[in-house]
Amino acid sequence: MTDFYPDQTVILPMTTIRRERLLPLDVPGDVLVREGDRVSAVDVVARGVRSSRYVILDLQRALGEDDPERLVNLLQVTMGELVQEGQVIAGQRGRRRGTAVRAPVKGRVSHLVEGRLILQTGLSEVNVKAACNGYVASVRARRGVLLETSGALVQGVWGNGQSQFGTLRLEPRQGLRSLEVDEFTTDWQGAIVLTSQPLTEAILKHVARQGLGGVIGPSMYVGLREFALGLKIPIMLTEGFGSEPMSSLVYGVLEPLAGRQAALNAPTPVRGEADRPEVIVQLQADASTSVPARNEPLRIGSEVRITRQPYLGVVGKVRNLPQMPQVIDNGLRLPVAEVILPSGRTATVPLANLELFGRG
Amino acid sequence: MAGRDEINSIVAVDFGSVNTRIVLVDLVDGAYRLVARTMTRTTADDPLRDVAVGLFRGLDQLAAQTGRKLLAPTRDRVLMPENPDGSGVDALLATASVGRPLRVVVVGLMPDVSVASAQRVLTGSYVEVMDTLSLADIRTEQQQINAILTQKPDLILIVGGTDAGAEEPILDLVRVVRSAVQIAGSAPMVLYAGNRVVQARVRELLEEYCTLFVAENVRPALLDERLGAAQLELAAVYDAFRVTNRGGFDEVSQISRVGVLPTAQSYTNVVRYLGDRVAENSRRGEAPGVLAVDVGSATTLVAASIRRRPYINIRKDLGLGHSAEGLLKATTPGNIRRWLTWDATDAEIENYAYNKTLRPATVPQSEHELELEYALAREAIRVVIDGARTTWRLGRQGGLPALRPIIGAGAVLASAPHSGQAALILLDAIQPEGVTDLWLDPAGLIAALGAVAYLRPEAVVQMLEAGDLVSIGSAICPAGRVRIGRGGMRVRIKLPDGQEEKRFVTAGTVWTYPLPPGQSAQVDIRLSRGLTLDGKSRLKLTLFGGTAGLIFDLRGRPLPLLRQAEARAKLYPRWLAGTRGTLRQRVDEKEEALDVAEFARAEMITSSEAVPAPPPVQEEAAEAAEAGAAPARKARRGLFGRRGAPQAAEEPAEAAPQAEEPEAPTPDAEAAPTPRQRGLFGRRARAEAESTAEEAPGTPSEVDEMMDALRASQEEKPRRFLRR
Repeated sequence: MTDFYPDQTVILPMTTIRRERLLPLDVPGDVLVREGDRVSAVDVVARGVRSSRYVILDLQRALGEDDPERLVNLLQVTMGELVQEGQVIAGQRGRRRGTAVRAPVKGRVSHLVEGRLILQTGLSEVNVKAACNGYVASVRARRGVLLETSGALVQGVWGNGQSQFGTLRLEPRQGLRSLEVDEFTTDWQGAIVLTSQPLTEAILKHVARQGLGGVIGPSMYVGLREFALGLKIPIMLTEGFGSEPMSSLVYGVLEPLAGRQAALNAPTPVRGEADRPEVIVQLQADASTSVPARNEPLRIGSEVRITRQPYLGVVGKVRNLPQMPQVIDNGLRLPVAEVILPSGRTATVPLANLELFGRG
Repeated sequence: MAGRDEINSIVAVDFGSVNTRIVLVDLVDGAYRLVARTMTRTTADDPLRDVAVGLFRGLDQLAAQTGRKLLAPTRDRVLMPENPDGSGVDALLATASVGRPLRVVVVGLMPDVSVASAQRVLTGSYVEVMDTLSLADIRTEQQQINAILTQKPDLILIVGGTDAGAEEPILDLVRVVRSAVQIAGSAPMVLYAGNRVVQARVRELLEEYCTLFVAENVRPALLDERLGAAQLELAAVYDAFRVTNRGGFDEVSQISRVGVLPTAQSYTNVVRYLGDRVAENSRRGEAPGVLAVDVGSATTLVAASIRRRPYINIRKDLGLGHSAEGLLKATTPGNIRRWLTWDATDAEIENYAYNKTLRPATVPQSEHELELEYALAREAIRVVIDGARTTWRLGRQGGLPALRPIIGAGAVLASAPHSGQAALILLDAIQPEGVTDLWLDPAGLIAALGAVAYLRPEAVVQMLEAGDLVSIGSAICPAGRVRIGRGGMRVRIKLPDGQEEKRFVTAGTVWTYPLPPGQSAQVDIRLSRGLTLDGKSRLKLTLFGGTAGLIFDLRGRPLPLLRQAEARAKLYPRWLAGTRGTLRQRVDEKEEALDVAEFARAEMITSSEAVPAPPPVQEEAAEAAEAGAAPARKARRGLFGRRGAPQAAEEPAEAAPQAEEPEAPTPDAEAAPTPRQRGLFGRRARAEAESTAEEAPGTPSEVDEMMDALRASQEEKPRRFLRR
């Protein structure tokens, strides 16, 4: 059998992490840090201004100017300048009133195109945060930065579009619902809580009220998606939708890190977009720390995570890679691997249902 | 590098959302043949974000299969052209459906004229129309500019004006577009396909500010619609879009002779070609249509040739992986549940679909999951076919036109445990009526052929003729509502060697006679009251087998589905066993009828009762044919020609019952070709055509038109589109 390259979801206790933090293409802005700078997760590394609407002012007609080229000389503002409603933006100085053109709304002077002045209005600031502690490895002018850090990295499969930086905490022994406002302490305020149990509607409502910083859970019923998307704190699922418990691999990486600062970024997966939900806990690198292995084929002895039922989330070791496709229980004839499960049993699993988790 | 005339070997690669399919085509005994095929994972997404990596892995696999070296020793370059030692290939061609669709704003003059033509230009590609500006638009110029900027299109398609028409209206719209692209932070590409007279002015206005593509006017005159040139230019736009977006397409585009074409365009090319051939081979009356269905992870596509007009319907929000979530929105859990043998809860169905969206490449491991997967596939096809009906000019209800062949593609069909199971999915979802031929495209050959057609049109003919698609068999699907267990079809099958099989197929069941690929049989059919086949109750047919055989689908139309899970759990496995040919042999019709009689009392939900889902988020479906009058076709002697002897001896429905007496094998049956000899239309037809072909009127093949247009563009801009 030729090499098979499985999917990869990085779940590593120590690795080198590189992440781009960029302004959207349509948002002009500036980079606020320099190469080599150390940044914390909450630092803004790039800032831009997004416009939701453009106002077009026909200066040529308003000023009665035949030659649009000469309009530049009549501008009383500069490109990029923020102007207030009613502010004179063009006109012949010293002439009588009426020849001046005033800004109809507050906005930013954007372009002068063929006698027409474009004002960007409906402005909103776009701040790009570092979203993890690290240093600036490189700068892309007017777009953003490439950050580098080291530590634990756990990627999930779904997020609700929020991000937060806070202390990683394990859920109380009695479960998240046992947290009550009365007994709420600063220990929990803004904490990113790890729970190995599926999230329920009651849990989500509860944590939203409690002021937690975020939740890392294994799964939840898909019907809670809309509710979770409406929450202001990040929710990351590590296994998927349903009622699956957390993979021992994921829990095993995060549990020892309780009490440390964690950056939880939980973008909602969008087709064609690279961003995945993930939690990063910065740790001091050692000499052996390296970036996650990628472009690795499956080998006998590879540690794998199974991504479909009946072994969803189970971590095993590849015992054999049969040369020919095999018929599995449901009748499909597929390329498979024989995987030794933690119980010692060997399971036949389609290659498509295996993923590597970043170890080389 | 080899010139156009020296292309002997071709690697065609199709980048799907999950899988990258690669085929190696080479000259064998003077004809192009599929030599080898392979499939690897597409590497467009994290962590690699480079489709070339998957391509090179696939080429490694092909090399291992064939012993032919395809990569340079550094393994980062394809060996081209083919070397005297047999290593390398002469050309590589790329198609793709992976990635987000092209966001398009359409700008035109009249909504029902040029804008409608623009929509038809776009149907053969993966696009999402974000907004439309026209003379009927009541928005101010400022609002129009804001609309363009807000939508952040990748492409603005400008059409409008006849070549002899007024110039200012279209130039006014071009000025609006110019203002928008000047302001936009990242200028979209612009494709101009309007009034030809103002092309130079358009270049003056736009070329400085954006990447401009110019094609011939889609409406040179009010009643003359020409889409071919604009579609070709759109392919170049798609290539540029893929190259400028991440995923490593820049490298692939450089080495591909045709850049990166949209896979859907290949389907249009091949189905258009097949429709022409089927029409040529039709004996009399209206030619059957041709249908190709591709169920992918992100997209479900239906390409059809109906009455010799090609149509393509692409749903970028329906699929079994990336777009499983969209599929759930386009249908309902209830519609999915009716295909299952157990009573799945809404939550089970929704969790399954959403998890497929999260992990689109995974495959079902349990029987329940496999059933769910196939239920989703049925619904994806059904929803697209339902949407296609209006573009095919059919009503919302009623049967489909005759379709022959029906071709299934996509991993869900190609990897079914048995080809009979793939057949059942197609029959359930499409519900064809009459006699049809079912084919599978497990290699992704259609995507390849549509691209190969640009370089070597004859290769398409030769490979389809050679039988490189897999024949599942013929399906006989009488029309009419049935009551399960009441009446049915009496069948007599006579093989060329004189063997005979008689069978009564009970209404509400499916039965398959295992006639191997390439073998033919004479089939006499008598139908019970209320059932008809091509409007008749008695027929004699010459049919060809396949990997499943001859499938007699007596379930009626619309398909009677059962409301109760217990009843479904008993009946559906019988249907599956029926198509897989594993239903126990039985000739006693009373026994058979008794066997299924319990279902006659079961509560039915006919398949036409599908619960309507919210209106589709996006559906681009339109006729891909050019509407204008066309000159007479040249005869195609020596390729396919006209089908010779009649395939079916038909009798009117009211004819008296036929005596059941053995008949001598017909010359047709005796001359049945071997499996490898018989292609999509059969060598038999070809041999007869050589002696009976005659000049036939018709419309010109649009593939030929596309070829001509491509060659013309090749002369104009060889580096941009056809790379050497």
